[in-house]
Amino acid sequence: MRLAWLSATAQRFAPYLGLALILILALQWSTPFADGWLVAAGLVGTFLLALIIIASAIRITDWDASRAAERGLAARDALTSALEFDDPDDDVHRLIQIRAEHLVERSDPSRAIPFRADGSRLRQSGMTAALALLIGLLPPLGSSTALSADIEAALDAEAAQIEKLAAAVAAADVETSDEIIAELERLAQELRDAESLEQALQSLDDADTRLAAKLDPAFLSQKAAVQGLARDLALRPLADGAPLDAASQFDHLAESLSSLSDPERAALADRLSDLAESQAAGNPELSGHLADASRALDEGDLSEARISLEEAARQQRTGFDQLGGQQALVETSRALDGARTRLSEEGAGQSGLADGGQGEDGQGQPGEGQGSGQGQSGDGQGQGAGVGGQPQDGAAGEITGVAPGDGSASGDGGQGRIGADVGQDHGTDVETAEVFAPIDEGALADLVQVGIDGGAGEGDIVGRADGLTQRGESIVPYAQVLPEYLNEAADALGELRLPPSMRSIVQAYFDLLAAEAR
Amino acid sequence: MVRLEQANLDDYAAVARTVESAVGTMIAGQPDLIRQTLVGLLAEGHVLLEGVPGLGKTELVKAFSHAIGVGFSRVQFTPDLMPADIVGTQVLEEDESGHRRFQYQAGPVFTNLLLADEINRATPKTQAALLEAMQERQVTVAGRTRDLPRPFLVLATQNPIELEGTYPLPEAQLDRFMFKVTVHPPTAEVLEEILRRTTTGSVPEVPLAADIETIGSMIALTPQLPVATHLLQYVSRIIEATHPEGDTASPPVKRYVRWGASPRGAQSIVLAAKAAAMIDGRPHVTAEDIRWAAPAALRHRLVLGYEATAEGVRSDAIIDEVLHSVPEPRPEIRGVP
Repeated sequence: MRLAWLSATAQRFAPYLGLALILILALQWSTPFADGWLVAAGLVGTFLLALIIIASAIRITDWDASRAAERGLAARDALTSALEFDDPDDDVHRLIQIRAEHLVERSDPSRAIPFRADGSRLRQSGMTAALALLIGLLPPLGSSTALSADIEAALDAEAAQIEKLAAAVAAADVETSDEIIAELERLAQELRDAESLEQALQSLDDADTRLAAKLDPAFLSQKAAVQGLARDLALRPLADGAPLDAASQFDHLAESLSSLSDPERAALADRLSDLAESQAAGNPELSGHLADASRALDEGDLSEARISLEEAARQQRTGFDQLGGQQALVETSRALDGARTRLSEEGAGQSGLADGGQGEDGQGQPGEGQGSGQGQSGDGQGQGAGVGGQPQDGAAGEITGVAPGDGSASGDGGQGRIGADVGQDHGTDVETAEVFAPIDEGALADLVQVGIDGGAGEGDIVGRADGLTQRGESIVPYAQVLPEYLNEAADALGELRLPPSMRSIVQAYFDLLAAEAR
Repeated sequence: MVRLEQANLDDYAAVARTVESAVGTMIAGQPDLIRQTLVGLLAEGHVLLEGVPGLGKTELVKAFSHAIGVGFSRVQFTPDLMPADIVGTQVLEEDESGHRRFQYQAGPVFTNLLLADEINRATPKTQAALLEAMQERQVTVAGRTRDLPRPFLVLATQNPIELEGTYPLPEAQLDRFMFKVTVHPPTAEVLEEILRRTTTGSVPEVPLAADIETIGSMIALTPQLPVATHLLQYVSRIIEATHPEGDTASPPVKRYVRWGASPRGAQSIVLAAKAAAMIDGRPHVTAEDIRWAAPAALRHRLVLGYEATAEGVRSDAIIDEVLHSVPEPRPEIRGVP
């Protein structure tokens, strides 16, 4: 009876289950939902499991069993009557018992509880299951069969861009180059093989996720420490005539320790101690070496101080190397984001693929001129945009970008147009100090116009970004990069990627920078 | 005491078949009519036959009396028929010595099979006299109660046409009939058989198929056959479904039925089902017996409303609907047979 119930109930609900499968697989077919088969299998499994559990738990009385059996055996109430009337002293009851026994003896027990096949339900179940299977096997909506030529071209173009990016990363030869290249080559192939835009976008997302997983969580703090040290030493060298980069300064200092006077050594020890403190969070190893050097100088142990400074130089270079590898990951991830955006727009029937390296006229705003440029890694593509109130020829924004690695990229910014409207020009106080610009500016180097704080006067383009190198030697005007520094810092603090204990330090550091700028 | 065996039931079933066969020699093409009459006999339930004249109702009663060897009376009900014409009366007689005394002269009701022909033509008073005898199976005349012979079966007929000057039986009196059997006109084939049998100058002779003792044993055993609880519940639900105010009443019942069947209707179904089981040689009742008995037991117990009259809806259609709407008891486990 339990099996009969299970069979009948399964037949009863199977068409509804089929409808549910159709919905699930149709959802998978028509949307990015990719786990349709998994959910469908889970639903079927749950359905069967529930049936088995309920069938096991059903309460079946003797009356139920006898009634069901006599219906199956066409015993015409003989069994239930025998069940009820069983007084052996009653002649009629005895005859009822005998009759029931004879019926049972002559019957085939297998016919007692027959399995009933509900043809209508089975047909409905079969049709819904077949339809669900058909939908499940269909290529996703918008797949290769439905891919437009534009999307195919866009996918090919993005694949080509990604291969170029891989070549640039290979040329950069950073720590993570091999991993990034492998990921990019795989992604390029997946884009070319993609049967649908959704599949391509999914490949992009997957690749981005894998790259993000390779990113060191301490990257930002390490970056801040390494670059901050470089900036600090560039602004205030440890010794007169020392090279600009930090590592070289440490090496230079290690060689010239013996020539320093005691007051100079004491001052140097203090400076190194300060530097050690500033590196404690982001670059503890370098901090340790600097602290050791400071202590050795205090103790007059020049040999130990020299060794520590050399270690510090090595650690600074190592830090840069590591930073380059991590930065390459970040840049690659950004490039993939860009590709995803362009493909999404293509899929949405919006604008076509963005053409890199083309300048375009901006929309005018009276009194303001702005040029922006974008250099893409390694191939010198750039993008420029000019904004002006009246179309006048403006200075061409010139951007030099650097891809992660040794490759030098340069792109010409778009033709900047300067508004000709008359207005007050407040942009006279231009900070001219030169500071270190982070290497990630190679991907997005903006010409930042300063000194026009809301002014409506004639704008002017100020600042010129020189090409950055992997070693971070590029120097740009301090005021040019400070706003971006502050924005980056604010973003980093807002994204909670920094440990809480470090946020106040970072916030104080950039507040100090902002105060100095003012 | 002789123990009841299955062989006895088989014998009873054979007797029933023989009686049906014997009556069938006279009544052609009416097996249901014969079966229902026999069930009425075994269940001691009276039968109301409804049909136009000339369908063999009188011959049916005659044939039964001959088949089972019992007495038979026929009373043609007319408006001037008096109760005494049914139950008998006291007449003043003078014996040889010159003494006068009242002597009871039994009426035609003192028989085993009574055919009350066109019962709806007698006055209600006369009808009531007969119906009292039917119910009590005894009559009281001049302060003395006299039992009627057993078995005692009244087969009353009424003519569905020519209703002028008739006294239709009130519902309460209709309720005393176990069955109301509709006698349908014969089909062409049956009519051909009737012609063959009745137009040759010789009347078919109904053989004696059972003795009165055997019939008495069958009548005595019939109410003893047990009915399973689920079948009693089935009958109760059927009766409940005939009540338009009931929760289980179907839309046609609510629309066309003014009064549903009485408990006596349920009793009639069960008794008739038992008799049907007896005729079939079974010691127990089945749901099929109940479904078979229900139409004849209920059709005169449903009081239809004016909508049914206006639309020509008959009781049989309502009963079919009720039997269709009330499922046979089955395990409350969906999916098992």
